[in-house]
Amino acid sequence: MTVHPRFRQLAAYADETISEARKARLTRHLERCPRCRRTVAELRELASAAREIPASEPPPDALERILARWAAGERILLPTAEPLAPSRTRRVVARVAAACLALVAVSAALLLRTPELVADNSELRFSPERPVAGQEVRVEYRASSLLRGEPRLVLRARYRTAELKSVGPVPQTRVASLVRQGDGRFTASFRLPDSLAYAVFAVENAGGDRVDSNGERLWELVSHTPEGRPTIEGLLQKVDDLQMRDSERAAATVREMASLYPEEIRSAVHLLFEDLSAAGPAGEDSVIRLNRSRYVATQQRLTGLSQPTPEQMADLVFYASRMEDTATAAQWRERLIREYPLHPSAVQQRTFVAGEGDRNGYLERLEVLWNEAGAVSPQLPFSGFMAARQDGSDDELLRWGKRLEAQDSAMRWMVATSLVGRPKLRDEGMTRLRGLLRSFASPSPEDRDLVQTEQEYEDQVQRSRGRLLALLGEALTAEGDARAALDTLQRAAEISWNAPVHRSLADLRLASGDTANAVSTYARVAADPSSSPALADSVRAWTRRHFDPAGWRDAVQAAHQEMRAQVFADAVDQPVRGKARIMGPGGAERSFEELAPKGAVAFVAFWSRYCPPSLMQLGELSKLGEQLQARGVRVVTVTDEEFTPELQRTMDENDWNFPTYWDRNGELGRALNRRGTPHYFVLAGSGRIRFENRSLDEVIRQVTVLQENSAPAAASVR
Amino acid sequence: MPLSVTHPPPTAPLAERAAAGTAEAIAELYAMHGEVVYRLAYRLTGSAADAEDVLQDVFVGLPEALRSYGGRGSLEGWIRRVAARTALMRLRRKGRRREVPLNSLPESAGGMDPSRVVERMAIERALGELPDGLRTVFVLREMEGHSHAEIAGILGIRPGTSEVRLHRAKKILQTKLRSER
Repeated sequence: MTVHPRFRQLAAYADETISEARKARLTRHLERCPRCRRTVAELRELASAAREIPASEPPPDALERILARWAAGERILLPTAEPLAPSRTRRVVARVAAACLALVAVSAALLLRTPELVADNSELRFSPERPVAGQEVRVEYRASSLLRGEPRLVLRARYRTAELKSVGPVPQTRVASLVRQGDGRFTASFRLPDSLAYAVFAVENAGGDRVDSNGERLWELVSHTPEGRPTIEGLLQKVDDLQMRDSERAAATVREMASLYPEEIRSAVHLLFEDLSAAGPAGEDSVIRLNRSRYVATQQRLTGLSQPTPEQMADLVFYASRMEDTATAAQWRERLIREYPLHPSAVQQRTFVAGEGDRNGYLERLEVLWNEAGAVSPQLPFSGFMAARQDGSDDELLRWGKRLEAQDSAMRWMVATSLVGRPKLRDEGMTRLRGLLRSFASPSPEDRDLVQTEQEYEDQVQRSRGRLLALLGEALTAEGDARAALDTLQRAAEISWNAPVHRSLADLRLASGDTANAVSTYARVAADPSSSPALADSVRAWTRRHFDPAGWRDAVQAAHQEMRAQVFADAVDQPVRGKARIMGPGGAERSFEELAPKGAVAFVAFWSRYCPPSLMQLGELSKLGEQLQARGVRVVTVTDEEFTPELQRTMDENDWNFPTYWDRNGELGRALNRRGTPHYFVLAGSGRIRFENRSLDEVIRQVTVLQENSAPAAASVR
Repeated sequence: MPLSVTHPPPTAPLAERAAAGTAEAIAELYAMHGEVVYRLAYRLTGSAADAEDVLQDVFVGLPEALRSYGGRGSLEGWIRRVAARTALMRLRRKGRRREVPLNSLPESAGGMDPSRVVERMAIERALGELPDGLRTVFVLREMEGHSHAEIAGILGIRPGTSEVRLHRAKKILQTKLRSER
């Protein structure tokens, strides 16, 4: 069974932008694959034919007409300003990049759920329901079977204050002990912080092994004014909190904010971005048109103020630039910088300005700005670091790296890995990796997300350690410190089964003369179905030459058994509960049994475009799906909404090649006991659920071991 | 008439003269850059009528616009970017209903293999059916030869986004063209 290169690689091959290493491999594949040869030929033809398309010529009287119009005094305003950077994108990049490292946290939080322990029908009530910040609040919690039997419970929260700029993760705290009142009721009283804008809550038992997160929706409180309106800061913080876990509710909150605070520029800006994001590129034009009058009114209001605040001016810059009113944006930016040159918003704008000039002097300009403004805006060290990463000297990278990590500890990982990638800075990078490892050795309880149990958090921390150890091991290998590298990679391998780590470890063992262990480690690489075919091939080719074939065969068999044991250690064994019908794109209803009949392994993937972690995995899911289908697995992907052009657009944007179904009545979700998204299930040929996951890393291995179970004779070892 | 400034001497750079607003300078600019602007506009908008409008707008507006030029980079590059943005603004205003030109036969197929001509028409049609965002990047990269960094500057997107869109465009085109064979 051949695995074909991805379209992207064939395209790179066709236009010669492919790396030498890949090129050689691809050439070999193309020699024996007519299908891919055809694709490459078509791509080349496409490129050359496209270039030949003539544009015909302008009509001969065009100049005449131009001069006539000009002479008549006609004025046309051309878009000469290089477009202001889509600043919000950058803001989001900073935020998401920060959250993403912690997204290794957040999505991992959603990742490792203990299957059976889910609370249905629990209730939590606050009084007052619309508190003012600093107020005393009473909470009454009615437990479901999950927590009903506990002697006492803990209320945990994530507090967001108005000043929180969502750089870096927000800590969790234990807020109150919930006292048992009998009959499944628990109560507590606590005081909200004076500066609170928004808070979300979850309930758990004292041991932290059973958590009720209200089905991951959590419970919430928004700070209100004494008159009973939600404060705008509260709504803004709510939007920020929801962005990374439930984008649909985030959008609804933006709308609520806009209707409650129509005069506030912040709600106008959020609404614009929300509308744009919902409409997509096709609808941009009409969104801008529809927002025009609100924009003009807002602009006038601000122009009328004798002293707009720097925050207001900054918001107007973003607003105007997204409304494509580049002249106004430039005006307000210039005024903001002139009147408040060292305000964080101004410094952020000055950072963007620095980025709009000639690329050559960019880092120099940022340095000048840093000398003047220092750490006042997180944008500056972030942009400086990203630029230095791309084309800065080692000195520059280190300098900006230090500034960035001082500003935002969530960036430490990224700084460490960037430094480690440069030979002269490797030492600095390794120091940081070790520092991170130490901090993971004593993880802080406030980093445990509200939806996670203690065990899930520990598992997540372990995985992070494994990744760090792998990185550190690679760096040590590159430094030539074989002994330390060996030790480190061994620890990494013990934590999780990881093909590249095994490969490095095997190489090191061989180099240090530990042949026996090298063989068994190489065997692990060869036995791992998720090793890239290239890696597996090269390992096999090499070992065939150097090891005794029978011994090698035995080693691979043994490794295979080890892998199976590891994989099955995570296995469950649950039935599919009842029948389910889901809806296909044409509107036809299909039964799940029909799509995934017994006799073959099946992979079911629940995804939602409103769930950012799920959306982020779409590309990977698509690739994996193709791989699985090629192995004879039935792949069924299911989403939570009906087919609309917007859904189609999302699928197109993510290189999605699958039919996907709509779980219209939630039947399939209930049948498999889906909890949230992303949620992936692997079913054996018997039709029973054997694995469930929140990420895709293990799926190939799981599928492989299941397929072997049903056809043991077919498992061949070379 | 735009300016009350004395005309710069004929030996002054073209950009300066054109900014001052003389018919001769405009004509000279047109002679040098007119075709390039038209071709770019045509490729981006897919319609001769739109391309003509863009061509007109760009050159009528050029004298005033040139005041922002400032001499950075080549004049042609600057004009092309302005033209690209103008064409794109026009596209956005027109909305999704694109006319795929039926009379897209080249002025003279003279000497060209007819099957090649048909092939090109197929590609043109397929290009016309691409979503604007994807087609724009494809045109700017594959046909106009811009780098992803330049495209990022023109469109106000990130270079990574430009790369992604290019790949998607190629994939869609390839699929479409294959199905027509």
